[in-house]
Amino acid sequence: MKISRRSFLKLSAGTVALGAVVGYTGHAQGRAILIGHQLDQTGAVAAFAKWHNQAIAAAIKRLNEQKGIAGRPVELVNSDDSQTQPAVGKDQFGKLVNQKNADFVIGSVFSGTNIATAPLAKELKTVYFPQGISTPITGDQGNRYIFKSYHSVRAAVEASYRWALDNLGKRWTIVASDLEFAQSQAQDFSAKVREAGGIVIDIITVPFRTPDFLSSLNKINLSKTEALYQAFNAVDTVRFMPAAFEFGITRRVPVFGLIEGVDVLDVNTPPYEGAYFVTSYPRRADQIPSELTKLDASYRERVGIGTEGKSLDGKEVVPIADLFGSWQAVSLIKLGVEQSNWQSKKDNPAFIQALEVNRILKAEESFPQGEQFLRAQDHLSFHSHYIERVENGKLNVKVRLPEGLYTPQVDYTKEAF
Amino acid sequence: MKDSLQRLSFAFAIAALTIFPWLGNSYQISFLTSILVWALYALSFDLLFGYTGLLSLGHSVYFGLGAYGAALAIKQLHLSLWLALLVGMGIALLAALAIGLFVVRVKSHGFIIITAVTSLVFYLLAQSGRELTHGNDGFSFTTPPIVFGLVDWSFSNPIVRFYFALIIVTLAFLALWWLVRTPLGQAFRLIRENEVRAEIIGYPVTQLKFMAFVIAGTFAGFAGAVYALTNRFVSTELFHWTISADAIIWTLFGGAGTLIGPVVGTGLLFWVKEWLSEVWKTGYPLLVGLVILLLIRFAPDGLVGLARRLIGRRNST
Amino acid sequence: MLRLENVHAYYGQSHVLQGISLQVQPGEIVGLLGRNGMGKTTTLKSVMGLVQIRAGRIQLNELTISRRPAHRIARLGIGYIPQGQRVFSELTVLENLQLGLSRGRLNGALLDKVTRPFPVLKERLTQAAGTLSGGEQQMLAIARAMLAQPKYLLMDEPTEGLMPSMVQALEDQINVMKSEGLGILIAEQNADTALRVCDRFYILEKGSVRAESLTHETSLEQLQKYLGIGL
Repeated sequence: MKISRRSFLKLSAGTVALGAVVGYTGHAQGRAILIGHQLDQTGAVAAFAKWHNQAIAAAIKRLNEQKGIAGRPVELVNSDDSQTQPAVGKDQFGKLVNQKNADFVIGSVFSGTNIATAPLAKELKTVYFPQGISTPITGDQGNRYIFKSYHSVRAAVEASYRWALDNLGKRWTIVASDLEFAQSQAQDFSAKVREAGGIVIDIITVPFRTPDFLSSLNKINLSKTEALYQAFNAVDTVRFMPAAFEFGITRRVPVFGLIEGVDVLDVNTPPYEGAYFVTSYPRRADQIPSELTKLDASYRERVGIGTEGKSLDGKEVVPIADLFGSWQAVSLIKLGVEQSNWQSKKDNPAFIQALEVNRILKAEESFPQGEQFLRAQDHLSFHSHYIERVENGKLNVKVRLPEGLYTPQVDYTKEAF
Repeated sequence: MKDSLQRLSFAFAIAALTIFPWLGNSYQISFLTSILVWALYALSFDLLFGYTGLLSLGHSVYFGLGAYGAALAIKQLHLSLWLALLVGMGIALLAALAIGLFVVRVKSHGFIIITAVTSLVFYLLAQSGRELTHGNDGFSFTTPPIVFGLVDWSFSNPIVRFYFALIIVTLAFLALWWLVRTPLGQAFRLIRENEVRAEIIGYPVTQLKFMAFVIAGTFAGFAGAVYALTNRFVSTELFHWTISADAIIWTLFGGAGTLIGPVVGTGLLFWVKEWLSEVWKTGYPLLVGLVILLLIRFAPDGLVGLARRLIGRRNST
Repeated sequence: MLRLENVHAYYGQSHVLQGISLQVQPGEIVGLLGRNGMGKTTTLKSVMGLVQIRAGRIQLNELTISRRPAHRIARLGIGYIPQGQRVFSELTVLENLQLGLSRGRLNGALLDKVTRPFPVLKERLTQAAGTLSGGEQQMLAIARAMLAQPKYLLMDEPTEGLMPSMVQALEDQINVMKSEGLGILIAEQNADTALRVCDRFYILEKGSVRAESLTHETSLEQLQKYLGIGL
């Protein structure tokens, strides 16, 4: 027996039915496969999230043009605003799964939200594709329901630290936000520097959204430092880099960091000039390796990205590399469903096992970032990296680096479903 | 007569809540669980604000401490569910004792400001103790199951979380119901109406304010602990002053100085927020603000006051 | 005996009480007269502990009560009925009366006793005190104060704003309390009332006692001259 919303409200005198009012939707059979997006419409990663959403929509559109997945249409279901807040994002994940009936969920770009959501994904037995890159998401904070089709911090560091030590300096100062994403970098990079015989002068932690970088910049010992590693979310990078520039730091020592911290920012301003970034895909089309140029053109067109890495109207900088995580998550869903003959969420264990195979994913429209390796143990995908440098306001590729494979921290294949 | 009507509505509300898991889906059950938990927090605030007349902007401190106390008791000390609940409450109690000693001596605007400062201080402390608190990113943990005899209820089941919250919040509600009817509860109300008058008829106002502050803080810590156990995730956002502001808004919306007010206020505002967030994705904080402004303009004593006036008017005509 | 000895008190920088000395005996009604701003209310407040005195001392029999918190002073047996709104307006009349009793419940006999002078209160027991008229609130405040069985009672402008019939009832009640041995200190601007009910009075001017006099030695005209008001 189901009591209708209205009569139930009356029944409970309006005070207690608050949760019921959201309405009920049936769970029809033979329906579309619903891909949920844990979408941060506001907060620190909103500029990234908007583009991820566009990339997912484009990937889904492409699939539907090709008869969907296993003959079933695919639909995108957006969460309400996850607000770049872990607790809110986690609740929104619950709503996506339990209320909006999402079959799979592509996660927030915010690592904190990913980590908060991961246990719930397992509890609700829903496969979750977090888009944050902090290392523990595919480590001790993740679980068997987590897949990542885009690198982790550790992979980027692993791929690039040797080059950085050889070319930029041996004595490093690390300045990092207190966010998970940045702390993950500070830990992984400092460990690698020490391991390779370099010296970490200092790790300076800066509060997220600090009103003032001066005290942190003052702590940098420039006489001992040969190179500076910076790790911030874009909302902080946009203020940190100009502050470092005004202090003259960017001219005295090379500045190095992951592209994820600046990927929605225009680097054509003096504070960024000369800075080095580890990226997982060149921002500008003319820097793309020749074997990928065809895929690149098609990918840019479908998502709506110009050849300089900006939106088609030229107003926004698109985090082009970051979006592969979401685009390729859609491709992994297709792969898993087809390989496991997935019908509904009860088949999720089979879905997971189908993807839990060490597998080379060839460069193709589904994986336009280039050939990559999906590792069974930690459900993480490994791909090429690039060192790009801002030269005359433009990001130029200096070198292409291998994928940065590291020892898995976990083996999810041994974990119970 | 009035009392028996109240008892009947209370019993009815509990009955309706009890059958809710058969009516709603998992999300709705979880949604209602968080309403219950936050309603308890609003109730604890109302004891201080609505009953005693002390407008604290630092109530989030005790909620946050309760939540972190319970979460760390489980994560670091591997304590049982019930002990974690006690730890959370105990830490909030200790903090309220220590802070209360200083703040209750400060009067009117000074009290608002100094409590706002406590909230800021604890937020910054929590942020800087990243090893323990994990900052804004927070941390997840697994709440131990409820085990006795053959029973083994896991908190991964939303229904278990719901009934856990329902029972605890109901008991706390009844405890507050009893408290506000004791001579102590009445003394709190005298202070709200006029401190000086309460003092000159022999009530030790400062001591009574201290008691209200500590009891309210302990209940807030209790709510925080229940939040942590049912949510299984905590972050330093819980200490933020906006969490204190939430308590004010929910309480004013429902009706300060009543027990039903904060519960209704919390529930309705959660629902309004949920509903508006679907209508207008990112503008809903604005709309929630507008709804609150309208209410405060046209019903300054909250929904409960509005309802009372409407019923009163109908009875008199 | 309630006694003030050379009491000094300040409001911020302003020296409001500049060495007040006075005393009230049990069963005596003492007036505290003076124009507005002469320190009448501050004197009562300092007895009550609501204003901290800087110098001097206040004694209740052998006990020094200055520098004790107000609620202690109240419990030592000093009642205070301040000026203006004197009751808890959100509580009912009965609840207000109940507040007078430090322990136990208000029984019928006790209720009859305290409401005898003010029968109107008995008709309004369940009404919120805020809905009473000013005079009724004053009666309620007095009835409440009586239930607390104080040894001394401080009243600030008790007849202010009352109808003449109410003033009469009030004066009668003050005399009843006096006959029961209560010492009463009344701050008053109304020379008429003061002469009718007080045994003695002190005239305050600029925070000190300008004159002390027995009622039967003073004429209304003299008093009005002191108070600086014409009839």
